[in-house]
Amino acid sequence: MDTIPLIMNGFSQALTVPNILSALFGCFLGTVVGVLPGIGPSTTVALMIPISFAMNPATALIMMMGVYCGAMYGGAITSILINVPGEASSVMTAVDGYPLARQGRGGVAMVLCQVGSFIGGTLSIVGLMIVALPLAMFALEFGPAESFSVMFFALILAATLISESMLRGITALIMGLILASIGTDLQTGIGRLTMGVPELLDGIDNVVVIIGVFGVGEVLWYAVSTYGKAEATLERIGAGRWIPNREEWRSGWGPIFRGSLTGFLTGLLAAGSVLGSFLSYSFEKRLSKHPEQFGKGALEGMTACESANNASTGGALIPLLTLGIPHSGTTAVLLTVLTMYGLKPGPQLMIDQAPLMWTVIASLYIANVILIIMNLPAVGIFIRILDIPLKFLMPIILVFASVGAYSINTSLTDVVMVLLFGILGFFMRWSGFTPVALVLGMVLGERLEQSLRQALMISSDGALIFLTKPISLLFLLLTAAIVVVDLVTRKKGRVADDSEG
Amino acid sequence: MKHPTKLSETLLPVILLVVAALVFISAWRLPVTATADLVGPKMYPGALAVLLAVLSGLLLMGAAPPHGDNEGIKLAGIVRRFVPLVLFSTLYVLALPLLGFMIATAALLMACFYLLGERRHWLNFLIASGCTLATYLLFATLLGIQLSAFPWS
Amino acid sequence: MLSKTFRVALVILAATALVMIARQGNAQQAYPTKSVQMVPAGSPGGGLDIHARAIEQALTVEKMLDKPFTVLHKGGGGGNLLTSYLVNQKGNGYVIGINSNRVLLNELMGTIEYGFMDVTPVVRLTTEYNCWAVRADSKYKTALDILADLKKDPTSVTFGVGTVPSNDQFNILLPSKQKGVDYGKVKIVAFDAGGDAMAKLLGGHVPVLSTGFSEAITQAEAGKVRILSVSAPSKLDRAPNVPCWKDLGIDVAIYHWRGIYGPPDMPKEAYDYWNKKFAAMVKTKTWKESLDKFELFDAFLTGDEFKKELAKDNETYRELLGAMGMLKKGKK
Repeated sequence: MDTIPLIMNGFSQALTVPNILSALFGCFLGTVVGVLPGIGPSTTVALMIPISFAMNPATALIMMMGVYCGAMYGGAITSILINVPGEASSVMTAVDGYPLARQGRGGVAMVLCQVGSFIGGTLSIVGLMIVALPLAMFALEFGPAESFSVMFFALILAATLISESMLRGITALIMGLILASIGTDLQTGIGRLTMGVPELLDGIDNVVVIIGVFGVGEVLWYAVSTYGKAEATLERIGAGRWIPNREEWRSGWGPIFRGSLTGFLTGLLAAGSVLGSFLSYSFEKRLSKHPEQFGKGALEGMTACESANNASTGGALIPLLTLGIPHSGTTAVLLTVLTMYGLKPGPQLMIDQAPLMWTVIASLYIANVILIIMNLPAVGIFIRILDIPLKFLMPIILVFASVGAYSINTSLTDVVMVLLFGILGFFMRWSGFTPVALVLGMVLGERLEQSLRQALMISSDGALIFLTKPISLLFLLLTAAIVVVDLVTRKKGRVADDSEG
Repeated sequence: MKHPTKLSETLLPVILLVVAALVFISAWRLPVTATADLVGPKMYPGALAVLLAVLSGLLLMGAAPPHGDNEGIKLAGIVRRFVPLVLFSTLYVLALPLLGFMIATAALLMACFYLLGERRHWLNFLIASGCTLATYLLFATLLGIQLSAFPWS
Repeated sequence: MLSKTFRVALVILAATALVMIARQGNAQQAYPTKSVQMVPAGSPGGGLDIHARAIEQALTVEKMLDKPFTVLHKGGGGGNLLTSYLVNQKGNGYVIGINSNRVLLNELMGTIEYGFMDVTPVVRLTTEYNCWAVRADSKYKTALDILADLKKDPTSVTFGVGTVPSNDQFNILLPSKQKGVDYGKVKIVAFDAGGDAMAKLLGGHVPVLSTGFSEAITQAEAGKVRILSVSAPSKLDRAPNVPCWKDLGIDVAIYHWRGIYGPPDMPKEAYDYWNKKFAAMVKTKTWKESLDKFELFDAFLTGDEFKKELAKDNETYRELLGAMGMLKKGKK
């Protein structure tokens, strides 16, 4: 198959006036959706289905790709500015981005995130075009045993990163794992730990927990910590500069490329963009010469994480386009859209519908270009939010968090839950626990449990399945290696501390 | 090991101990089905609950070093700021279906601004109504979320 | 001669009476007088949402829509949020919901106290069929080979399904039961709904999948998998070589249907109206096109037939779930 004429044809199809206009609209809407907490790209794409009836398939798909990419770009903005990650994949962005904003470097953080997003997004489309089929076959190798080992690896990697107090970090992680087990159990269909609340049968939405512990938690923390301080009534964060200096640019390139690769590969596995952003952050912290600054305003982890979650878009599309199998929420909705146009999505899609599919791939490039052009100047506008005095900004965050939670299922139950998780977030912070560990346990927990049980049910020789599958074994060995290395270095560090003291 | 005495060090571990017990009991009472597997729907949350209990116990015994992020938090602040904020938010959720989005949201914002120290009511009113309108336009008009704006709509 | 005041009073009274009679007459002859709320028990973009859109489209295009619909999604709670919502709308003729057999399953599993008797089944509309699929290089050539292996040892073959409890699962249990397999012991692994189970079959992680026919057929046409049997009452046009269970000598047919439910004590006028309306709709060209596009099959049943069918299904499910130990205590 000669792909170059197909690509050129794709671009010429995508670059018509109505298609560019719909890409612009999609990118704008996607950015808004990404910026606002709660409603995510998959719901937005689904809400666009009725509008898309009136369009031809190419135009509608281009618009939806714009939404998909735009949401990934937008997610960084609220994470950095107001500590409210809109999606699970931008949690790690908030961890360093918000401290950066408080140091007056919020603009710099946003610019690096946008550039990282652009490079990550673009590289992943290149990857999608060149190595889609072999990678899709590789992704099929990932069964339950492999999934479990990867999740386990990610959890251990994260747990060893929690520097302040390992014990508190692991406690928070376990809390997250318990939260993830609430709801209908996939294997038996019985409701677990739902306390008779019907809304809990579907489990707790990750976004609800995230908006609660980060957004509402931050509002409560601000209110209580400024009590009795007269000067606090005038306090504002302040926009600060937003053009990165040479040193900041230089520190960004490594994380961007490493993050893109991690994001692309994890997007390919069903894990979606969440795993990629956590993993790439952890890698950067391990590679860094100043790991102690992570979580207090280091650019590297945050940049890598944003590059990763954009790079996951290309990876996640691979199973859909080459095998007709959707993975993440948004690709599943895209499958429905393709069906609506009578396209019969399946393994033959790239062959039967080659011109249309290449138009869609071309539109991904266009969406990324539009987004970087649109969003870089927008940083200068968004950054002004930080000039709002905090006594006004914080209540507004509270409203955004509530309405955002409501928008997920148009249900007030979610608003109540956001408030409850806000209270939890406040008390966790008061007692020195990291909400990040809770969120990590929450978002990876369900797959960890289910893949463990699926693997054990499939296996004919019990837990040995995790050791007999090569990919699974590899990840378990990596996990063991990390634990050993950490134990050794910690001991060394302690000896050094003792000799100093 | 020194036993922690400060409320901030003991409150959450105590609550977690209770939560762990509740999770364990409710997992234990799940029915056994033929489709259940080795780890099962029961074992996994049960094991997590035991782990959580052990970890909270260790924390209560002072196994983790004290932390330094909570200097700004005073009990008076919790009573005067945390409690009213939670109360306002609860009232907000109750008021939303009765008063509609516009009135409830603007009222919540004004109450919070006042609580956080801004006493100029006209300014509070202006900012609150502006933000309410903007939020409504973003979520309801642009994204099509079903929000009833007023009690009569 | 009557006083002027009295005459005026009389005229007013008569006018009022006339208006009241006219109003009542109006109300009687013209259901619906306002828009009807249609509530799919799923999120936008899902299967039930597609039904809502297809219904709206068919009625609009065929100019059969008397009053517009408003669509409200009640996705949560595994379908239970819709059921509770309908129960709360008791006697309201202006709400209809779209749901699947989860209405029966959830009550049997004990996740909700209301069953199909607590709402009004209005009509059954469509169905999908389930099938058994194996990878193209599988050693199994027919479903009977698998059933024979299962009869020797019920744990010898592991099945993948999308979710539990579901028709995917019953499509394994019912044929096994007929063939005398100890079906309570068959190993069934649930993967995340949708594509995940198919990916696990293609990757060789499970030997057999019981899944929706429409999901498997594109893979079969590309030569990646082989479909061994389909749960339809007779062979399907799109896969003329695939036997249905009856062709294999097994008296099983499974409908993965979707139907319309109303609130309890739904007014008779509303119930009759929608029965007639949907009976006419399913004959239209637009509706049939939608069915083809989404690989659905017509399974129209009027309200009375639907109710009988539900009662039958409920007993079958009760028996199967009972054998799996999945019934809520006190439901046996």
